[in-house]
Parts: sequence; structure tokens; C-alpha cells
Amino acid sequence: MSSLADLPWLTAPPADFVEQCRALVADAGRAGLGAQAARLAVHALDGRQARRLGRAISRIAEAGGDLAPLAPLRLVVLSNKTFDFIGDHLPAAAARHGAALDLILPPFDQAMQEALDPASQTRQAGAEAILLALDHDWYGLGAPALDDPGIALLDAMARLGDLLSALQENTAATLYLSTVATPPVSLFGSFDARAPGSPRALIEAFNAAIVRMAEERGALLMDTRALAQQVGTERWFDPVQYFAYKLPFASAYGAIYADWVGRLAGAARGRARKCLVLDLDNTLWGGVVGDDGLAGLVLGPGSARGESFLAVQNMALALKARGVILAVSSKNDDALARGAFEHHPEMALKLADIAVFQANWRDKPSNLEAIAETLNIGLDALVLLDDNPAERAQVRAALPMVAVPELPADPAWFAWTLMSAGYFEAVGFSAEDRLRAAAYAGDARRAEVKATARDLGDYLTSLDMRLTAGPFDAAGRTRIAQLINKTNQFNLTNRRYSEGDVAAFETDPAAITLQIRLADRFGDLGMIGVVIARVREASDGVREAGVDSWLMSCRVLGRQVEEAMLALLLERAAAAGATRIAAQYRPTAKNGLVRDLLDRLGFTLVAEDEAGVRDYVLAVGGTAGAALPMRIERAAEGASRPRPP
Amino acid sequence: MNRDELRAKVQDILRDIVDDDTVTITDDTVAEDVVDWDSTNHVRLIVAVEEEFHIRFETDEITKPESVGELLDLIQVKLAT
Repeated sequence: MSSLADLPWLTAPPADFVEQCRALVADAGRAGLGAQAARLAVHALDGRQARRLGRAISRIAEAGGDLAPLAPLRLVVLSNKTFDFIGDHLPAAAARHGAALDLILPPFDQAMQEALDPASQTRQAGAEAILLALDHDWYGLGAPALDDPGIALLDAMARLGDLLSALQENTAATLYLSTVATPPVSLFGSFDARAPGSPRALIEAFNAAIVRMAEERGALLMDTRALAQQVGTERWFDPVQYFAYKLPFASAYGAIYADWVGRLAGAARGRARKCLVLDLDNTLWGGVVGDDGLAGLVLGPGSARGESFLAVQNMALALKARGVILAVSSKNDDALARGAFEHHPEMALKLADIAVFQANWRDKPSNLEAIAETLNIGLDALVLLDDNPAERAQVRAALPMVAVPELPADPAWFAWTLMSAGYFEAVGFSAEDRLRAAAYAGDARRAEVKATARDLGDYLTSLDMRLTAGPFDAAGRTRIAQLINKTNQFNLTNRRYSEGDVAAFETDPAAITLQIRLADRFGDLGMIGVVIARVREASDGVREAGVDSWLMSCRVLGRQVEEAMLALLLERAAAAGATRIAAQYRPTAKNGLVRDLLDRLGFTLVAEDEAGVRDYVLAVGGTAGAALPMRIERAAEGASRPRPP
Repeated sequence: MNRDELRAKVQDILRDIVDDDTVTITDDTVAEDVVDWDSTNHVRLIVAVEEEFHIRFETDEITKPESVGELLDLIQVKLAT
């Protein structure tokens, strides 16, 4: 189960996190350190890691270093409780949301003195923002006021009003007010709600007053109450840590609290994200539209998974209604992907909701760049929602400024995860916001992807891929038949075979068969490719391996798996005494993806007929291919395979 | 985990908190022996120990240990229950 305290949308920090923080400090005079600090900040950090990164950021600032593109912000926190351990998380959290914090923590429980004393840290520091992290105790609302609840409420409001007036008179800072969490202790029980003098009723009434005061005073609002409710006040308040250390809430929630403050600071500086880019297969619907077809997609009422995906779509629509731009980036056939939007009866999202629609076979970073350019927004305004961990890793490596939330395997958590990450934090909601969606949407246009080849650097190597290849065997039979019958897109010939047919290939002495599995550092992808070829004497007398079937799952596109499959086929063909590979591309409505595959792999086109069927050949034993970014393991010959005669 | 391994882990955490990789602790070490082991860092240490070993201290336990040895005793008791 996902827990807010763990910020599960963030990845774990790298093993050399401490060294990277030290390198930042060592480099303090260099330009562009803000981007590196932000890159380190987008991990789930514990208190010590966050504090270390925070110290690195403040040392860079002290050394006069350049923290661009982070927006500098001098923030004072006035708290009536011990705030140091929450403060440990704040600079990292702010960097995550686009702000370089200069954090000042005056001694605790001195809020009014800080406002009134000209020599106070707050007054001297020239604060740009002041967060009032004051809880029920400061307002005197922790104890019942049964005799005169009205007075207790007015006293609390006057106390806050006096503080706000003093701060506004004496500083130029933007004020961040906080609502108050209600301790999980009731006086009467359910009757608390009807007793105006119970702490619960007092705090509820007071929170309404704080929201009004924020509006009147032009202050921002940190809804601590909402965070505590989302966590559960029983967990939020920790009596042991409260009495021992005067912590305002359990230390476990320091990171998420700081993230909420960081979101506010970022949003106030115009750094909130503007555009949600959606993957399609297994993100907006269950299944792969190119392979499963419209009827095979899991979406909508009738199944728990289908409802989960529908919830993602409805969440995207809700974001669009508040002004977030929607875009699509999917490795897919454009017509098939658009077809799902137009013709699937359960689709809540329509093409008209999508400002830019990128369904093609190019890498995602290039498509995200095209989307940002078309919308004329920065890459740092994008959020990518994608179920595929390898795609996420590639985008993070190539475009670290794009926000890419981690997603659990279970789609039930997708909408929750996206919304809990706080990418679209707002400090207002204007008429322009309402109109923005309409201004961008309607055309689902295709953006031009720059033709320059993207240097993926060591991304593919970093996936730590292990490819296992072997001939067909009984253990793989069911999955082989499934792949053969389900794969429509990366499939050269689209020949379909039953399990019985597959079993026959296992013992056919003239058949070369390959079942290919792939695993990477994110997990085992299982069987993802199948090749069937037949060794024969060609009409020109050459002994050749004729490819009967060659297919691959689209999940592993862009990883040079097809090159590896060719290398393995060449190896097996040579072992069988063939000197040539003959292969064919037979076009279907769905396999345009592999129209030029054989050209790309170095085959020579020898014929093409009117139906578009192309014949190719490739000599066996030619030049060795380039080194592949994966380890290839050859499974032993299957037990069911007879020795060659 | 034996006591030496436990002490080494606590030492790692303390080094991280006071940002000094040369700090070495024994059972007799007290806070005054380590530069920057102040009351704020002591709370950081206790909270980090709780997280690291997945244990929770009660109020009396938090205030009791006066040396590294006593803290290790307490962790070992907690880990055993």
C-alpha cells in the first residue's frame, strides 16, 4: 500500500547521494548548480539526506554560487513548536518544486517578538516569505471553552490578527498562514460537533476564520489541517514526540509537510507544472490497443482494473477543467491510438481534450520536447504519467526537468499517486485558468518531432538488460503460441500458429526456432520475442534460412532487441549450414511499424509486389554487428529437441 | 546483529548527522565527547535510530540513556522484543 509519508511518487536516492551532495559543495562557484540540486531533490529523502542536500544548497548560496534555474526565496518560519527537524526537509523540498530556499528559523515560540522587535532575525533578514507554523496551542484552542466559546474564538482571531498586522507593518514578506489540525481526542464524543466550546468545534470554526483572513490579507494558505486529515490525525499527532521534543507532529511526516510547503513556494514563484502528458497503453486503459484491439481493452465499469483506468481519465479531465493542459505521448500507431479515443464507448477522454497527440515510434524524450515546443512552454512545465518503468527512467535521464512520478504496478493507485505528488499546486484560480483548457484543446494536433537522432548515451547500458534465447520447448509452448497470435504490430508476416503447431516446430529438424526473454533492472519482462525459420535449398541452389515468422512485443522497442534477435538468428543459421537469410515483410493494417525493419537491419530488398509484400536477403557470416547493450545468455538445447540426424 | 555491528551502525548515523567521518564512538562515549552532538542533534539521532531499526521508544526510554553504551543496551532490548 502506498503511504503519503514515503512520497512514493519519488524514486529512491542514488547510492552515491552523499558523494553527489559533497561534489555540489566542492563545485560551489560553478554555474547551473540549481539544476543539479533539483535533480538530487527529486528523490524520496530521509531527514539526514534532505538536511545534507539543504546544507549543500545553502553553502552554494553563501559562496555566491549560481542556483539558477531555481528561484531564490528567503523564508522565515515562525513556529511555536520545535521546527528544526521539519526544517531539515524544507530546502530539498523547495528545490524539488523550483525554489532555492534561504531558510531562517528564529528561536521557537517567539512569533510576536520576531514581528515587533526591530533587532529580531525576521526583521533583520529581509524575509521574502514568512510561514506561520502555529498550532492549536498557540491560539489557545487546545482546551475546552464551554462557558464562553465565542470569546475563545475571538481571542484566537485577535491574536492572529495582531501578529499579521505587525508582520505586514514591519516586513515586506509574503505571509503563509496555516490552518490548524484537530488533535484526535474528543471531549464528549460525537457531541463535540454540537458543543461550540469543544476543541474540535472551536478549531473548525477558527479554520474557517483563517481561510477568510488569508483572503483579506492577501496571504497564501498552507492547509496543514488537510494534510493532517489525509494522513489521519491519529498518526499525525505523536504524543511521545510531542512531550519529549515538542514536535508539532510526528517526525515521520516531516518530508511530506515540507513538500507541501515547497509546492506553495514553487507555485507562488510560478514554478507549478502546466501540462500533463499521458501514456496510453496500460496507463489510460488496460492492454495494448495495437495488439489487443479495441474490444480487448480493459476500461470502464465491469472490472476493478477497468474502473481504475477510468479514474485516471476522469482525474485528467478534472485537471483540464482547472486549466492544466493535456497531451498524449505513446509508442503507438497513430490511427489505432486515435481510433481508441474516437470509438471506444468507455473513453471519458476525447480527442478534443488533448492539445497535442503524439502516437509514434520515436523515443519519448524527443516527443516531450516536441510537445513543449508546440505548446510554447518549458520542459519543466511537463508531467509525464507512464506505467513503463524503462520509459520513465529514459525520460528522467534525458530530461531531468520533466516530472515523472513513479507508479506502482496496481493501476488502482495511479490517480492517487498523480494527485498526491502536488505537481499542479495553485495559489489562485482565475478566469484565465478556466479558459486555458479551451484555448489549447480541440485539435489534438501532431507535433513535429525533430529528426536529429537522440544520443541515448549510456541509458541502454544502464538498464542492465539480460536477454535469454533458446529454441522452442514444452515449457515455453503456451506463451509462444500466445505471442504468435496476439502480436499485430511488430510482426513481419502475421502467420498464426496453435500450440499444437508450435509443438510440431519443436521437433522439426529443419526448423530454427528462437524464444527470447528479457529482464532488466526493473524486473523480468518475460518472453518478448519469437523467430521461426526453415532451412531449405533455394531455387538458385543456395542453402538458406527462410524466415517464417519474426515478432516482438512493442514493450521492448528502442532497446536494440531486434538487433540481438538478428544476431542470434545468424548464429543459428550458420550452425545449420545456411549461407543466406531470406525474409519477407507482409503488410497488414497494423504492422506498418516493421515496414522498414529489414532495411534498417541491413537486409537487401530483392522484390516487392503490388500488395506491398517485400522479399529480402542477407548473407550469413558477413561483418559482425555492433556491440549490443545487453548480456545475451543462450539457453541449453531443449530436452524435447532431438539431436540432428 | 551483534553489539559491534550495532555500534558501527549508530556510529555511521552519528557521523552523518554531525557531518564528520572521523567520529569514533565506544560504549563510554557521551554527547559531550563529540563536537556538535548537541540537544538538537541528539533528537535527530534518536529519530534516525528509530527509523533505522524500526523501533519506537517510550517517553522514559528517550530520556534515559546517558552514554552510547546505554543507548545500545536500549536498542538491543527493543530489538529483542
